[in-house]
Amino acid sequence: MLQRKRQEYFSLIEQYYESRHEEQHQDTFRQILKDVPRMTSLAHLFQEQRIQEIFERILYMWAIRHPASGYVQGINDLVTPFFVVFLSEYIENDVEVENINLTELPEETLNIIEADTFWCTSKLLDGIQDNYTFAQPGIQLKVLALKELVERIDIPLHRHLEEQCVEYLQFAFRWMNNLLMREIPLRCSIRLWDTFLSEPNGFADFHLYVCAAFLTRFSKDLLREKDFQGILMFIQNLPTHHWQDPDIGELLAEAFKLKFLFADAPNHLPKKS
Amino acid sequence: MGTKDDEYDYLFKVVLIGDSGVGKSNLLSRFTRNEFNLESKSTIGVEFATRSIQVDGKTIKAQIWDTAGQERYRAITSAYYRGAVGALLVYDIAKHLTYENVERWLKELRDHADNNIVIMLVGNKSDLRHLRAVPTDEAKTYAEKNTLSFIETSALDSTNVETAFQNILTEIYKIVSQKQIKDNPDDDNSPSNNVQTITVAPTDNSSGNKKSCCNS
Repeated sequence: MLQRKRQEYFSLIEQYYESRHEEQHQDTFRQILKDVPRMTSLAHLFQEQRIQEIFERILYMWAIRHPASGYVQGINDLVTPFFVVFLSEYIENDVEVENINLTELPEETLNIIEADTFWCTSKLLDGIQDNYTFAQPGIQLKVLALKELVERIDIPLHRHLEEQCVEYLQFAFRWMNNLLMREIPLRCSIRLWDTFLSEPNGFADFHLYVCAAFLTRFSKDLLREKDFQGILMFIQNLPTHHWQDPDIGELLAEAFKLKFLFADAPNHLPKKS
Repeated sequence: MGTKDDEYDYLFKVVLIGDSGVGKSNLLSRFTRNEFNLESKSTIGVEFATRSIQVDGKTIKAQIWDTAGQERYRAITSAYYRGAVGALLVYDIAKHLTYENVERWLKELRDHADNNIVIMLVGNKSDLRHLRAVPTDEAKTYAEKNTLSFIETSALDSTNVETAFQNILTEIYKIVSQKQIKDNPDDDNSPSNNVQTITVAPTDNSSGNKKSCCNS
């Protein structure tokens, strides 16, 4: 099965990757070429031409197979956790360690990692494709749901945000679009995704509760910020650089609590007319 | 910067728009933090920063919104034009396509922003002399034809970044203060009805948090 999928991926590449030079796909490929070198979560890895090309192929192949959304900035980030996890099987050190050496990695191994990463990312994106179609309705709905949820679970914070005219879309857009990958360290994203993968519709439905738990975790800090600019500056650069697995564990515990309170009892979250 | 960050006479919202990769985020970080990052991440949605400057003895706080450049985001980012009194429309002097797309960005502003918004065309990456693809004169002529101000900048070596923001904020200030004199000769502290997109904080409000920021 794995063998067959890997072969399938590379025959897709063989058949379609040349099309990146065609007029109709120029915008897509150009955007990918702009974004891949700018992925700094693994800066040392992305300096390698071979790695950049792997990401370019994965993203381009996904984009042309999903014309309703195509490639949208941020999708590139979502490839990284799978890539890193599959890569870590073949190297001794943690991938976050600066000095891993890929030159010793045989071509064949990188190919396996590439194909597996492609299919896993595709599966993930299948569940959240409406995040990336025109006007990004999936994101708009989730941000609205987040707002309604926070209004129920943390009234002081919700009021504070409203009073200072902070709109949820102004900060939570990125949380949805990049699945919190811009907000927490990569190692924490990998831990978080482990749970997303084991939850039904984890990347879509459960992610909402994680976002609510994430926001309210900084409730005190946000209440301390007295104006719009203070709140936004804080929320754009949340102090999570030092976060480790236990922080994600706590976050998930809170998210599960919210899920059991609200997801299984929809009347706790009444629809406003 | 000199003044306390939360004291200001005027608060102007300015948006940074233009194609992906032209250097909008670095213009913002150069202006607000004097930082430049060669490998800065792509902007997702919008990012935000502020800085206060002095014009005419008044403290003007610029609230600058940096937007994502990719086409797909426009349905969402257009919401961020609301309340903006200035726009820096940025292209990359070394990438002609980003200059060709200026036309589309202007249309975007006409469709979604206030009619009176002050627009400045900014040719960024002027340090890339050997790669220049857009002649200065051509862009200047285009700007004049469309009544935009024009400047070339380099966020990398800082050239003209300060001037660009200083100029657009001064231009906005002049328009606003003239309007106020015309509309409210007796009370230049209250926002005039005609300039609803501009947030004006009273001079004596040192905490700056009583202002109305929810413009329609």
